[in-house]
Amino acid sequence: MKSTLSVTMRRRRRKENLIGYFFIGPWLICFLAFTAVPFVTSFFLSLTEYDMLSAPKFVGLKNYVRMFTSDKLFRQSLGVTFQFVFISIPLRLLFALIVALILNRDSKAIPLYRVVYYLPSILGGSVAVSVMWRYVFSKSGVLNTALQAIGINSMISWISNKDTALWSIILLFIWQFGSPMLIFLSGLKQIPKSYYEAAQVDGAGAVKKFFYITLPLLTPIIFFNLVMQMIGGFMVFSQAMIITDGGPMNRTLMYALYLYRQSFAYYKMGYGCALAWVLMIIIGAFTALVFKSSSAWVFYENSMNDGSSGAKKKHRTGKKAVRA
Amino acid sequence: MKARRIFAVSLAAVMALGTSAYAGEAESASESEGGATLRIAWWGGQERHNSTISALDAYAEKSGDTLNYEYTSWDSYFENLATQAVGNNLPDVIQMSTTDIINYSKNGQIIDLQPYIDDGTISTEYIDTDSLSGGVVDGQLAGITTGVNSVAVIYNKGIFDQAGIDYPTDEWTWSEFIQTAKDIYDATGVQTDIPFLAEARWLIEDMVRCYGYDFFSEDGQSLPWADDDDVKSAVAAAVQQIKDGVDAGYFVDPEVQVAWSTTEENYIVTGQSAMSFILSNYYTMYTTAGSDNQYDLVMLPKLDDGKQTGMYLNPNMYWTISKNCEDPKAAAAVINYLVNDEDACMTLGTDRGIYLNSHLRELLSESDDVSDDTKTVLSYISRVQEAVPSVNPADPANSAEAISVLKNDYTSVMYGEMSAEDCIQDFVDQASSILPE
Amino acid sequence: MKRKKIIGTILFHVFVAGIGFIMVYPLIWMFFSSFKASDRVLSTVGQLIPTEWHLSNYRNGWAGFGGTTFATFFKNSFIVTFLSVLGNIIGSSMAAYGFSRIRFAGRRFWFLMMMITMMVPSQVLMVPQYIIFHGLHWVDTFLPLVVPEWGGRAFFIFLIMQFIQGIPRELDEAAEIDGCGKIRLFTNVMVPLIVPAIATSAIFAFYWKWDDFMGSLLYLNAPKNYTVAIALKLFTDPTAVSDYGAMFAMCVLSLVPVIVLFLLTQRYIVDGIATSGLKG
Repeated sequence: MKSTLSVTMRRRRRKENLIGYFFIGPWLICFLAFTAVPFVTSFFLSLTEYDMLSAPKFVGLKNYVRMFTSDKLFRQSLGVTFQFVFISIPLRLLFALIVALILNRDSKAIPLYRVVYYLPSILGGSVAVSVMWRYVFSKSGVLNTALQAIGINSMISWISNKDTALWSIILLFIWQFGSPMLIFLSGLKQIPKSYYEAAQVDGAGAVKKFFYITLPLLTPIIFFNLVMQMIGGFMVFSQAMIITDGGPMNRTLMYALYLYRQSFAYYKMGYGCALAWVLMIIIGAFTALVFKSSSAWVFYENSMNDGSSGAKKKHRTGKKAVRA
Repeated sequence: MKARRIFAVSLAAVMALGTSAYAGEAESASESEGGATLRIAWWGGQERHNSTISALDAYAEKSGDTLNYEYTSWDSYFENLATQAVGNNLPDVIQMSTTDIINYSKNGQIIDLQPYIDDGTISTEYIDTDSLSGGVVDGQLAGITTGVNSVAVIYNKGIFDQAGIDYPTDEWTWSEFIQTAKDIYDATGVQTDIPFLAEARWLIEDMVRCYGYDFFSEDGQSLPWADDDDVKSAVAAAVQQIKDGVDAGYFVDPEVQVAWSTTEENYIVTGQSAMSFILSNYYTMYTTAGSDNQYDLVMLPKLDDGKQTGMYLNPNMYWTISKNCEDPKAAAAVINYLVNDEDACMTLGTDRGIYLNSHLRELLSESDDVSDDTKTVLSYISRVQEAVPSVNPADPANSAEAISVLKNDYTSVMYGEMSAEDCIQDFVDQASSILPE
Repeated sequence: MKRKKIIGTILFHVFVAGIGFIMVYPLIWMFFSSFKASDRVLSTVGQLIPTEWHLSNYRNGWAGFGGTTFATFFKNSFIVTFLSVLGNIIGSSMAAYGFSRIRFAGRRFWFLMMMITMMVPSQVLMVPQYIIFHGLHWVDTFLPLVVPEWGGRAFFIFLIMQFIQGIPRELDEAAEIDGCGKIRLFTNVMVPLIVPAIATSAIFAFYWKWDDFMGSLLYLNAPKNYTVAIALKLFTDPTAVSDYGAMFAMCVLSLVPVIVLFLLTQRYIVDGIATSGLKG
């Protein structure tokens, strides 16, 4: 009896495994074929001197030692990037969420607005953006003219002043909030209308509905956007490149820009790989932190269904959600 | 120890994967009597793409070669090239920059072209062999210079007229330059650009050359002037004079100048600046954008205590042949066509610098199809060549990183974040650790 | 009461449209600039409406380079992008379903790997990846740009997973009790429910591929294979006079497919069937 049970169990588990690998199959094949080897290679290369034009030379931990002992620009770029990430990511998400909420209503003009607010994101790092940004934030630019009109005499060239240059890039990054906005929008649409109807019956106001229905049910999406934007934010590159190219005096030298210069402009791919692995560890640490914290603030709808009281029961997410 | 060897072997194996993949595969190119198939790579804008394609098409028809073009933008050209080098898949003929050629040459990715000069495939009938020195790396002719340029001062004649000040001459000195900038500002309120704010290297190189030094040592491992305190203090003093001018207002505010990115934004184009330090090959770019103004070119001012002019000729870029090329003789013939042929010259113009070939220079300066602005550059280069006949060699390895240090320090001086002495000393110190690696 | 609501609606539209105008101003500027005389584009940045309207930028731009026109570049971009998006949404939704609904051995590990490889800057993966594709003799074909997309991207997989988490598990169980296999469950039950996430992914996948410069440049050598993203960069050169008019004209054209797709797809994001009909 016992043995037959375990046989069915085992058979069942094997079947689960088979189906599981069937579904992740395409991803797994591509991952193993095109990503895994380059990923591991990049680590080995970080232990070498490698100019791409000749064979890599093994140097042990020299690249890492150099990074932490003598490379001033490593520290500089890391500082700039932290500043950038911690200011721009929360603001970008906040804007994306607010706009998504505003646009999440029924009106004929709404589809048009959605396009309009998404458009800046598809301009990316194009020349038009860099021309416009300089036109607005230069010394004789639109911003200073506007400030003058309201009586503030500003002589700052915002994109090249050492204290404000980074802000002009942060602003550009926030301005392109289209992709998290879109994801918020689709998340909002997934919230069952019946919840709002029920709340309406209970006489809940708009604020109450937001805090008791919208926000909790949106947390998986907020969580997703936070993780993804953070990962992307640490690797930001093109915005800094087109507007300031890291200047003035490296005040906008993003980590990824520095990594790129070391790898391709200075032909130090080994050092670039070491920089990349340090960045990965930093991003990984922050991502792990967000994942860890998520059990305290991310709610899944499942729990609303199975909880008899309808209260929000916490569910573990992410890595743990996979296991759950 | 063992682990290390295993590591080295496996890494080499991984990296060799690409290398070996194509090793046995020869392109079915016949010998160089026509019929070769060549890949030719260059970067540029629409104009260069069109003119180069049309010149090469004409050549392909004449020679019977099949030419495949791989033209891209300046952006990412070298990332692409380095990646192709790893894959052992470099194009046959490659347009190469002065900063990157060293890396390709010292690693044997591009071949020595001297044999093709010796056998006459690349003709030097009208080329002063001294001027080919610009393409010599480690005693090997790694590239044929497409053309030369030089540092220069572009000035707006109208503003000089308005201020009642004589046009500068090639013999002027640094203090005359500073005085001129000041006088023009006092008379008209028009400022002068901070010299080479974005490319400090061109300025400092000119200054140390006034004392007879090369900017980089011949082996590329050091700065030959690093221990000469007189030179360093003279350079620092000159840089300080610029900073004084910034503070007094007759040089452009560095915050404004740093923000320029397109030609059209430059004050020299908009008529808000009297003089600007440029590379001569940009001259027509400025005159085209600032077509309302009258411009001319003059050499950089000599430092007052300097022994000689600091001027120099630079290779603009090179044509090189990769080691992957199956038929280097056919490739060399293409290069010969690009640097020596009259028809090619008339199609290409001076887009890649002023030709080394003196016959082509004459042809261009007499042609009605060539604009007056281009002729100004032609005559300017001739003047510089009379003063300093040889062409600067390519930049040494690791120089790009050192140059970016200098750029930053120089900008810091203008922003008031660093003293002029510290700027020069910091560059010397950092270069001494960056260059020798 | 009703008047108040009308005033509220008007205020809403004025506000949203006003901010929206500022948001898209650079795009509007680019659109109008593409009709200016090419040499006036950057000297009249402050002026929005051209004094004279020129169509020549579109003609010059479309002509492309040395006889290869933008018709070629657009065709290539469409092929590459269409195949990538298709593969991406199939691969991503499959993997997302596998990761979130099926308990198979090793899924935590693979999920972790997926997240970690997202954190490495692509610049350092470029060179080893090139070696692989070169070894496969795929360079100068569309394959390196398209094939990896069929595995899906971590971004979309994770996104769709988050949506699947929001779908009640009883639904799966009910279907399974009805004798529905996992595969049918996925195609017939799950996919319709995650349409908003798939639509969102499709928009991003399209735009990212359409706009991908570096990958296209590395793997496409011959200009006849170039995509629009590469071609747009070919107009300008920092060391020469550049035809900004032609570039802006082609930029405007290159945005059209992205905008059209967005307009077509956003309906699916908005009208997401969601769980509204199921939950009762």
